[in-house]
Amino acid sequence: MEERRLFSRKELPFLAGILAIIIGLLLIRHFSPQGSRAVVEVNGLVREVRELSALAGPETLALQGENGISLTVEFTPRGARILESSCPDKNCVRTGSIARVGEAAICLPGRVVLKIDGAGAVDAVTY
Amino acid sequence: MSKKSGIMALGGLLGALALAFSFLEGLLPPVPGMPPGAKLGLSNIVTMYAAGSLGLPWALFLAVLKGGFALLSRGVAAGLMSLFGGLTSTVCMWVLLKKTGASLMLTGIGGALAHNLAQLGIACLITSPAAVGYLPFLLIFGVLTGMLTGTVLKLTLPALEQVSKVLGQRKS
Repeated sequence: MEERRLFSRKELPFLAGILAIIIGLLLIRHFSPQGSRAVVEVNGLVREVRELSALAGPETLALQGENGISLTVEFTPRGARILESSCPDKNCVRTGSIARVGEAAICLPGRVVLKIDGAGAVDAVTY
Repeated sequence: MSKKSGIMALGGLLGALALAFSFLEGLLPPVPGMPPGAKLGLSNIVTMYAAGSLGLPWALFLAVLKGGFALLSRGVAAGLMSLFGGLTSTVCMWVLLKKTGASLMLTGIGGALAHNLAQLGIACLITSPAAVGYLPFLLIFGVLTGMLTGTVLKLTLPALEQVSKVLGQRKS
């Protein structure tokens, strides 16, 4: 492999474009409203729905995902999170608490998705 | 040493290096504030070099090897993610390096972004489209790690060239 430049000024527009996309996505995320409803899906099917605003205090739910993985989900009036999981990489747990519309904590091996959607906040979301 | 066996030896060395990087990366504790599942992608340095020096078939072979290693050590989901991410990013880096003559940093960034996007696609397929929520963080992290891999390759390129010269990859 021949010597290659580390960076060339001609490529700056590409980087600026990527940066603009990132900033745009972050802004969209920042301004998305607080969600009122937490949804738990296993393998693409809705398993649980909680109206967060209707909760009096924290509430935990134990559930079984695919591949023998068990998880504990916590709902609070201000958000939801996956408290613990028996999966090997714990990405879903490290995602932490989620509260905004469109946010999600995902356990890939267990095919479990915990997401927030905002009934009442928006009429429809199109992609 | 014949040229062919030299290339084969270099490919083997790079394969071992890629696996060692993957393993070492797995030992690093997760940094708070980092998006879940994000990795430094150190082994991408190796596939990037392979794409540039040995060509696309060898680089793809390294990506498959890495995917197999992830499959054995971290399970089916991680294996699939690693395999598809690795193959996509390898093709992307090869095109950038060989067809457009991009700089090392841009190649690194392109490879990292391709890796992350392919993995996000897999995540969407096997769980739900809600995984798209991770997109901004994956992009930010892809740019940062891509800059890192490009810079590291720039710094280590002279040493790697020495190795491949000794192994008869180049007649000089």
